Amino acid sequence: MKHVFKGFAAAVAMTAAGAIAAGSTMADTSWPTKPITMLIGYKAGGGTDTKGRVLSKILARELGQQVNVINRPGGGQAVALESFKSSGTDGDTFFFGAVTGITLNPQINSALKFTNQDYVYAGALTEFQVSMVAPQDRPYDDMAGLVKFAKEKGGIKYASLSPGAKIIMQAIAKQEGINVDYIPTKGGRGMVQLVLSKQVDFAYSGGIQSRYPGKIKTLAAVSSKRLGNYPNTPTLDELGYKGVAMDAPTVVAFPKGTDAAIIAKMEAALKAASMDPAMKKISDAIKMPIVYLNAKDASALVTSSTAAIADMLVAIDYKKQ
Amino acid sequence: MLDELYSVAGSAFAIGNLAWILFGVTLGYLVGALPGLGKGTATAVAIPLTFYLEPLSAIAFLVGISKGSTAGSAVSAILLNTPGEPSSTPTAMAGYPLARAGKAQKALKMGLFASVLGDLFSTVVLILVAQELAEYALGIGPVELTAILAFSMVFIAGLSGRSMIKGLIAGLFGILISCMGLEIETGSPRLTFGLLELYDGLPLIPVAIGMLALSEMMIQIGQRQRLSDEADLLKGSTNREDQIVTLADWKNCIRPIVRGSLIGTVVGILPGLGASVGSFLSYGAERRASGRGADFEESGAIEGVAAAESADNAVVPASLVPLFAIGIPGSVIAAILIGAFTIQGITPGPLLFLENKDLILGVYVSMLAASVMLLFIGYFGQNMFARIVRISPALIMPIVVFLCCIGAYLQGGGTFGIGVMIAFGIIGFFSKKYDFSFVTFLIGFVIGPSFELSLRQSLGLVTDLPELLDHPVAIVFAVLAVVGVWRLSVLQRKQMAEMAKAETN
Repeated sequence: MKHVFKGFAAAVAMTAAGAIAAGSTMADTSWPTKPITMLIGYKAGGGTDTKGRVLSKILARELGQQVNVINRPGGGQAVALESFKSSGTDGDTFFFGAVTGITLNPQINSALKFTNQDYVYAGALTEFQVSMVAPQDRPYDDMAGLVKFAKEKGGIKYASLSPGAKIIMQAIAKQEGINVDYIPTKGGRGMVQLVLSKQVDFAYSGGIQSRYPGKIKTLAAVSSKRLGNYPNTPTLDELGYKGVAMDAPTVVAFPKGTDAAIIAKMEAALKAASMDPAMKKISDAIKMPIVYLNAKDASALVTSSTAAIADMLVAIDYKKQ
Repeated sequence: MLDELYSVAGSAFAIGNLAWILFGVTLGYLVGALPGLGKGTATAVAIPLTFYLEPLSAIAFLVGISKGSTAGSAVSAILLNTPGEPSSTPTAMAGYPLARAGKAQKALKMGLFASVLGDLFSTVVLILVAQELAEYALGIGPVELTAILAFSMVFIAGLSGRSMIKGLIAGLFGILISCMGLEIETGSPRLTFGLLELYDGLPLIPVAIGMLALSEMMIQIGQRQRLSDEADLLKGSTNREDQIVTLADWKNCIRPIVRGSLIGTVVGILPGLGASVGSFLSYGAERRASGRGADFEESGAIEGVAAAESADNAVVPASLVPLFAIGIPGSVIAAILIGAFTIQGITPGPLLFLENKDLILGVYVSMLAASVMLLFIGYFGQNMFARIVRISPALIMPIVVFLCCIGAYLQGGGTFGIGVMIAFGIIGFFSKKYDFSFVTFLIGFVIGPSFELSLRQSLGLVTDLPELLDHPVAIVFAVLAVVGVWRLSVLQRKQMAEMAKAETN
């Protein structure tokens, strides 16, 4: 009898708490009332797309409405971001993708007409393991060794898989006064090919080296905090390279002006997704750890990242294209 | 190797997968039999529709179309003297006289057997060779790749039309068009005219559909050939010997089939040559070897049919070797297949065997299954196909154009894709009219980005001229490319002179 009473009391308490919590998130908690769209700025089949599709199913469960995934590839997520900027503030469409499309690309490409201020952020979920890597057999194991090697040899060859990768290295090279030959590659796989065939001394990676254990070593983390996969690897910031950190989480964004209640609901759904076993399974499979950020932290990250990148571009005398 | 293939047999022989292979081969055979439709058209149109398939079924389906089409083209070649594909032109030359003599069924059957045998041989070679080559290719760096690509371009330009200069122009134009988009190192937009849709360059599928399918439809509509009424050919001779392939026929044909398979396989592996080169070379060799010369075309020759059909079918699987192993498309089909792989999120190249080993093995098993299916479909469907070749083009073309539009819409980002398709349909129409090889253009377009990237990487990696000596393979291919330009243009000038002389005589 006592058990039943206790249980009943607990239920009442929880319902009351729930009602208070729900009430405090304000008016429009009825969203979504119809299927919503997740916009991905890459082609189907890529890493972001795979994660996005798993996430869309979890979100559908959490939000109680179908989540349709639409791929709108082009220009490093630019086409997707540009098209969705003015797509309405009723929460019908949201963007899921690498944050660098928002923090970095508008600053290097003058044709892009959006900035990080055009969107509000509901949270971040996973994190590219952005790092500096080298072929396993090279004689240096850290940045200091690399710099020494570069000075002795007169220069090093660096595989750069994106404009961002080149910019970071340019800043480091300027600070250390070393010569670097920039070899552009087509994405992570092109970089891997050059590293595996030992044609370059050094490269920027988004984390793909985890697929080649024993062949590629990680020298430093490019993110502002240590990476989940490489907790013993120092960040560039720790090593004395200030202002070159580039964080690359995947974020969920809505157009500016979207109701705060909608953002909050998505934030809660994302939190649930971050603890979902299906999400864990896919992130283990592609070796990209789940790093959940709530809306406030995600927005702060976007703002600070954009500013940091702006400073870095000034430091290397970057000419906007 | 055998146990590896066995392990993927389960997925390859799944009912769904087999159904798609069967559908592909049948569709291909049909498309090949119909004059005016080719495997390039069919593959380009079919690719967008494979998006919803499993990667294995998608690739197997598309390769099945190629196989079926190259075999089916013999049907209209023999029955109507109209090759269903350019590679069956020798088949028409040697096979149509046979049909007129009432031996249509014999010719069709031998054509089918030769096709299947050539196809099987080449598929086995593909299975054995591709992975070895890929392992070697992993060591191919940007410097070697640049030289190999340059050599491929020269080869393709020289052999894809009557004029090497025009071929090179078309190829370089293709490379120019491929520059549209964001530049890879700095992200600065090139030739994008402010259009966001062009940030990743022109989408391949609408370009391919436009150049191959739409332009072909435009040409066909302009020509509106009326197929003559020779409906009684199949009934032909009541002599049983003329309807089947006898032991004597086999004795005569086994050598051309073996030779044709070898020639076709080698031609397929070398980039740029194509099935027509294979079938003509093999046909020519058989013609010379038999000593009968012009009699081949006078009274027909089953050996000629066997030689041509085995070779052109052998080209198709072999042309996948450079694609799977290095990521270089050596033929139009391979170039379009890159699009199919991309849709499934897979990049052909040396890493393919490391990352998608199971898929490739599954494709191999599926291709072997397709060869067997080809035999059955061709054999039991002959009556049906013979009737189908007479369907009026006026019925087929609107359907094809409609399918083209769907494909371009799906894979080109909506109506933008249709616009691209139409633009390249027009470009393709004029290039066919003025003999600017659209094959070279398309391949230039597809390898353009790789060529530019590897060239830039080479410039970064080789900082001093002596360093170039570290790359002997690259030097060899570069020299071959230069030699190729010189020799092929000399050869062509000789050919032009001979043709002019023949005209004035």
